[in-house]
Amino acid sequence: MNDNIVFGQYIYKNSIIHKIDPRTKLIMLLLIMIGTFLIPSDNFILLLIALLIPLIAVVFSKISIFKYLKSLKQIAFVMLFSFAFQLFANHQGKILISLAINFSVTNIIVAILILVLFFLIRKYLPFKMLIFLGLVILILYLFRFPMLGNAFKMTQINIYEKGLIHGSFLILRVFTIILASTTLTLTTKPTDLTNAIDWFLMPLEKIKIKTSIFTMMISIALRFIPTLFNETNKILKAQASRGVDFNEGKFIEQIKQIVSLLVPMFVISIKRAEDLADAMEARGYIPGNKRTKLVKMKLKALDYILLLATFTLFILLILLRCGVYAL
Amino acid sequence: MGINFQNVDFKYAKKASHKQLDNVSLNIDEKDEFIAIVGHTGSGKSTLVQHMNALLFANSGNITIFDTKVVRNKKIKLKPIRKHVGLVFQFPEYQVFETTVLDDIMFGPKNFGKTTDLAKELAIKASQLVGLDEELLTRSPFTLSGGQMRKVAIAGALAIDPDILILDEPTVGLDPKGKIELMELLLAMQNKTHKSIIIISHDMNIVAKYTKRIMVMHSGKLVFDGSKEALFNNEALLKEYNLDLPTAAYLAKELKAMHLIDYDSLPLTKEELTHIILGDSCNE
Ligand SMILES: Nc1ncnc2c1ncn2[C@@H]1O[C@H](COP(=O)(O)OP(=O)(O)OP(=O)(O)O)[C@@H](O)[C@H]1O
Ligand SMILES: [Mg+2]
Repeated sequence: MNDNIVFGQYIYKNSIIHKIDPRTKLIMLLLIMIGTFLIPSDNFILLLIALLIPLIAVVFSKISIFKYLKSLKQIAFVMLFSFAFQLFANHQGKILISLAINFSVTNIIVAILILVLFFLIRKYLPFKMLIFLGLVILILYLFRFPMLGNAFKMTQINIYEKGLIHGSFLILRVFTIILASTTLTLTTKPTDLTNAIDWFLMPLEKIKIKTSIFTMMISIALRFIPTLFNETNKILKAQASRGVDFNEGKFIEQIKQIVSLLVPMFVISIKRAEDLADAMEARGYIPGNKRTKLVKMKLKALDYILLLATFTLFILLILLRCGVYAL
Repeated sequence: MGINFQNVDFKYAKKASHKQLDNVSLNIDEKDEFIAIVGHTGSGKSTLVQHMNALLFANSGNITIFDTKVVRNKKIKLKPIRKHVGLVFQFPEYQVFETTVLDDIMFGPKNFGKTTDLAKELAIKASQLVGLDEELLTRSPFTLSGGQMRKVAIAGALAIDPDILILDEPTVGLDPKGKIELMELLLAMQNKTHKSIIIISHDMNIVAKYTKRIMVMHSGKLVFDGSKEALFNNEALLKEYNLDLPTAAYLAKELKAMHLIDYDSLPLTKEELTHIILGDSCNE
């Protein structure tokens, strides 16, 4: 069973990045995100500057680089796909590479065989993504030669200069954004994040929208995800000892077995919610009323410096952008 | 046969520095054992018994249950193991889900391949054994009190009719009379069927009265495994692991210190103590 799922990716380390105020981090993330989209899509130097900010944070956060790579892995497929799309679909600029592709019966069969084989043994492979990529390239390479049997169709694939540039730029841009947001989630407690969001929503309270209720709801939800996870595990075990086996039985039986998991889960969640509501009320929580905070968020010198620096960079970028249009 | 552990280590989280089971070796016969597992909160009792039900798997060491080696492996069917060894969980609210109590008790036997009719018969028999009111059988299990729900869970395990029955703190939430009734029921069942029974309990009076063998867990280690007499006469051990004496034994020691009574072997139950105080005359 899943042993070590912790919701939220927060990892405690005593680093300078962890100590930055969550509001500062949130603003910086927002500016980096908007910023990377404002950078004209052939200006690699500006993008590298934008990338440098999260990179520095990664180095100072004292968190192992593998943790970052893990969250990048989840989105690697999307990144590769959009890269490939740019590469083949963008027809601007000089032709860099021109490939003749032959579709013949043998080629297609070989390609299918390779893919089927890959999916069969994929469980036992390390670096699945990279191997898959290698295989795709291998298959493309094979398609260059008309093997046994005539090619019934021949096409040219051209890769253009702009396609390559835009593709790489896109990847780098997504990389920057993901890295920045991963840094935020790895170094900031979920509760601190909701506190920060709470703070940003404060102006809405002025127009009589009780934002604190919503942020309270969010923090409770975040807080209870691991708890619910543990409960589910316990229910699974309790039912397993009563002979529930999710891998066997007819369809109807399987449905029954899932019900045996879902019903206790709902009952326990609802009971928990009721207990929690009572406990909160007993401790004087009144929805929407003003509350004091256990940890007061306070901006320190470092926060001001960082905010100033990011805002300066951001404004410079906007000026530049306007300049580019003006020219 | 029965349950055999050899140098079992277990951790919940791979990176945890602390083991929840640390080099545990034990052997439990399939017949006529009545074992209590004691130890303070968080010492690993529940973790230990979940290994006996193939719900958790050792990180290292061997576990053999009724001649089947327990490993996490698709090829090994765990269901037969769970048919041999039944487990009643510490918290019954994690398992009840059916619309009526009777259906819920029938759920186990049906999963282990009994027909609906047979399952119903077994369920009714089990519910009578644990002393559930017949009127409760048609109620929704969610409307029951904590103690009633526990009885339903115990009946559910009895209905499966395992060879070894493990109960994780079965007497919690029962009233004094209910406790005694439950323990008497388990004892009677053992006398009739010779099944082995294992209970986890913090209640030394119950442990002393009903069980024969005691295992003491302490931060994941099995630090004592022997007869109850051996444990309760070993003062150093009791002190080291913060274990209580049964009330009768405690009282007897005080009385002996005051030279009011004398005995050769420490009385562990109320009955034994009365016997010492009153002599044979109490038999009348
Ligand atoms: N699902 C879990 N994930 C991580 N750690 C756990 C889990 N369940 C139990 N533990 C830890 O394992 C240790 C042993 O727990 P266990 O439930 O076996 O104790 P116990 O002896 O049954 O205690 P109690 O008398 O309170 O029932 C404890 O330190 C507990 O925090
Ligand atoms: Mg326990």
